[in-house]
Amino acid sequence: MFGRPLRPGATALITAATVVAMVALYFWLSDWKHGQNPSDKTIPSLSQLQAGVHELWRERPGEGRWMLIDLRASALRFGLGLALGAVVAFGVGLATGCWEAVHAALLPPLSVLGNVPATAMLAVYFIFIPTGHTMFVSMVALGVLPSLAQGVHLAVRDIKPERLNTARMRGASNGEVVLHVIVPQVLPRLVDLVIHASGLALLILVASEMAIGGGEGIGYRIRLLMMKVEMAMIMPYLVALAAVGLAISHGLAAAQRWVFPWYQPGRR
Amino acid sequence: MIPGQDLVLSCTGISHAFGERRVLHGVDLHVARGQIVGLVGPSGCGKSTLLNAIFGTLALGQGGVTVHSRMGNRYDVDGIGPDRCMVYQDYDLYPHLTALQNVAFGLMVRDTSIASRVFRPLAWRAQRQRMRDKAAALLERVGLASALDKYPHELSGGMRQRVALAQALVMEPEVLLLDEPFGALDEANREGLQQMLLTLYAENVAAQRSGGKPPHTLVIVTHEIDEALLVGDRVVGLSQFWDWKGAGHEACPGATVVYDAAAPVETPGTGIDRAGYAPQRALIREVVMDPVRTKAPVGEHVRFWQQAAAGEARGVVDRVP
Repeated sequence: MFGRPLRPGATALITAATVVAMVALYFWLSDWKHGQNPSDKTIPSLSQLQAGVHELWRERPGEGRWMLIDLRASALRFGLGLALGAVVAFGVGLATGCWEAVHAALLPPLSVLGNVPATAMLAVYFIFIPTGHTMFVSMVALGVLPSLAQGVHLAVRDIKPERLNTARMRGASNGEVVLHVIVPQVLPRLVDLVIHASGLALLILVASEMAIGGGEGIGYRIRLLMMKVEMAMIMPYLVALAAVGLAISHGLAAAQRWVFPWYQPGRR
Repeated sequence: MIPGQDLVLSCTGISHAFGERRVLHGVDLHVARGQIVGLVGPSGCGKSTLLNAIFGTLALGQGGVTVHSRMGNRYDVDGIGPDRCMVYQDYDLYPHLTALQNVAFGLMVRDTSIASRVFRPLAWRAQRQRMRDKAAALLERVGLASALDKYPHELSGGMRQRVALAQALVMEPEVLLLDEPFGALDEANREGLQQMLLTLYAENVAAQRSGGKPPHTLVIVTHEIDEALLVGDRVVGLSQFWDWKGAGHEACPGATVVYDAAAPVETPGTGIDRAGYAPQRALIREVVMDPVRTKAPVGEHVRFWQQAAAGEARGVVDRVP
């Protein structure tokens, strides 16, 4: 029933059972498919997957290991793009949250960015931004910027006016109110926002890599392999994406608990 | 001016309306240094409005508030300042600071600036240590010696309110304003904090006796008459139920001071006989709270300064000038 927590062991057990069921279902489907057509490539069997991973990890003359270079390129673009977007969004949201005039000034560009899908803006970016890593990094950064900035803006507005008054009545300058009262209370919220935005960032990155190409990157490779229906080589990338997503949300949540021990959104 | 008294706060001729709603009418209130004034009145009579006027968050229609500082200068209240601290009922502390940091925060922003902390880091470190020591000493006084490094979410409501009091006391304000400070607390916590206020008052009296300036002046808004009688040395009743027809008004022009008299001065740590409050409590009920009874002219129960002049008041104002 809702409102009645499970025992900790029970949660883990149910989760594990679901994972086992998913894996079992996959191999059952694969078996069934291979029963109909032994040379099927759409639902690769375990041995086909092994061969696929092997192929991805093979040192290719003049190229290197596909999996390694793709993961490295995508991780770099993703990390830099998300970090850049978060930093800029923090500044923008803080400014619009604190000063009405800045809010009015930045509303139009943020609305454009927020309402036109990042992948559609690609055509515009093509003109202004050099291709290569810079392009993908700025795509990701610009893609997550509007929602992050909006989130930070709301977090600033959420702080009770009494808390600002109590700082002022003790003689705090405006700078001190921002630095000591607003920023520390908004930072953990930014982490929450980044966790939520990381899914969007991955989506933008993979979609743009698929669209633009660029010679390396997860999206680029998946698109190439898709044409040849090399599912045995696509699957490892999908697993890698899922792992990256999980690692980021859990890693950031752990970092948040460590850096902001006072932050207890559930208890307020 | 009240002759011969060391005043800290003078509210003169305060009238205020929120749009059509007239809240305060001709409120005069002079508070001597070291007094604890219990401000009572029916709900909606403008107690909090008066407190906000003193605090400086309200632009008054008429009249004004003057602060007479310890250093001897006088100035009119114009906005929030570090000389007047307010503690609210539902006081929320900074969630990102520990109890100690919450208390030391006020000293930091009052006495230093971002530039001084950045460009003179060594001096700032020494200063910060002094501020922390001072904050720790104060938290110890309010009974939180074991909770210095706890965050607000780890503290109970009573403990949080103690931190809030320490946070205000550390600033050594000219006047400390408490708006229903113990309203949300349980009996035990409330009594503990009331005892603490009595201790503050005892310090005031001791300072007065030894020829110094009493350090703490408090105005405490409460809906409990007993609490006002207990912690205050003076009870002021603000009420919209007064004989405004007799004063020539067609409609109620707002609440005014209808009661002002000395309250019993209790010694902290001794048993308190609340039964003894009954006659004064009954009078305050009748004069301040009762909407229907025919009222005496406004000045009849505003007697505190006459009592003080006659030597009938106890505590910090008992010296006949």
